[in-house]
Amino acid sequence: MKRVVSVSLGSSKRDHAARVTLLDEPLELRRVGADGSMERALELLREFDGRVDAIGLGGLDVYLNIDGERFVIQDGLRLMQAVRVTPVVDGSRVKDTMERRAVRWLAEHGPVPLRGARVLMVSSLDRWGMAETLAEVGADVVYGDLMFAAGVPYPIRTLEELKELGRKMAREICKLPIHMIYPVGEKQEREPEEKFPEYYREAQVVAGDFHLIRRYMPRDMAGKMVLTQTTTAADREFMRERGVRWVVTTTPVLDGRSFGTNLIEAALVALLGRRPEELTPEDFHRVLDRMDYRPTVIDLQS
Amino acid sequence: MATAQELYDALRDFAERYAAEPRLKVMNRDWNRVIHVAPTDLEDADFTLTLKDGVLTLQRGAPQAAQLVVRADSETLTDLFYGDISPTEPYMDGRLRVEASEEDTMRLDVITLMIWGE
Repeated sequence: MKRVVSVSLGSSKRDHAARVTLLDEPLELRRVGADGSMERALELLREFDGRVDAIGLGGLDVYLNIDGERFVIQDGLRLMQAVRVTPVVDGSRVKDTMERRAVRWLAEHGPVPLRGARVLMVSSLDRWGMAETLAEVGADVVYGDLMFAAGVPYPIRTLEELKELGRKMAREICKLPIHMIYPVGEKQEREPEEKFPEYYREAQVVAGDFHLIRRYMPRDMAGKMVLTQTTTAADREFMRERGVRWVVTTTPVLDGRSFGTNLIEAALVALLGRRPEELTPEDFHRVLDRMDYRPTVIDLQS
Repeated sequence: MATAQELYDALRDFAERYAAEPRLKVMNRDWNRVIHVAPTDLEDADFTLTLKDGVLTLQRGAPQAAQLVVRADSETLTDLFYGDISPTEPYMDGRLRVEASEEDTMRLDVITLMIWGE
């Protein structure tokens, strides 16, 4: 049986292992958290290198794609380069493909009509596919990257401006230590501190990375939809208590469990037996078609 | 090593470029800060950048109190404010020290990237 491991900079409290079937093949998937420590993540990567069929890097992105231009986060690259033998991926490519499909599916079948909906994306440079597709389907999007990543009270309201500012900032931001640009380790567990709550209040849909959404979430989220990657039962309870009506998770559910995109991308690399750089968006689409992929919509208040 | 006048000219150029980007006024409308620019290799060549209601002004001399202190050798500071180098590398290798909260450091970074980012 093929074995795939996700080494995440996130909390070890979310560690799990499962046997699943993907593309008719059994697979052992495991997630191991490094509690925000780069050194621990490096140790884990060296430990698994050569001993599993593919590795996913979680809790951070290595590549940011801004309208086709790729930027490399240096701390992520450091982790990736520690792996010498086993194919290693960060999940950004499958995330891009999957989130575009998820938004298109939601536009047709979701509980909130996306055309004209007021959407707050707390982070969009890490999910260009979602940002672009939300604009494509006619949502009225506030891109909150400057607000939530840098504390700058400047909502970005068009994809063009997001692209312009993203390109201005990304090259340098990517050189900063990961803890300066993304909550890692115990920061993910902290009590939320409201930040720009008026933008949460105005939005019908809050989208983006769940750790960021959670970190700045106000107490009253009544009736809103949260569109994010993957959530735990505790995350869903947290949102339910704050009144969130629907949570939509974009990551596929395998045998009743939701897995991070890095783990899914690593699983595909292991199953298809190809180098990560050989895989194309069409490969990802084919696999997602075979899985009959669609996002998961949960009504938290029913 | 740069002279005090070269550093002043770089800071003046920086302040002019700041004023020429109207979005910076909006972005920093709530961020009133005093920034002390402190070259480590020049005597009596400190400068003060003041941000108030989104407007940036430059004065000669050190402030009485500052929320941010930007410390480096005069050459690095001059290169930085002229946009010949980005702040990230000297910051990461220790040539540039920013004595401020993480959030204030990030906001100063955003200003330089808005002015000089590619």
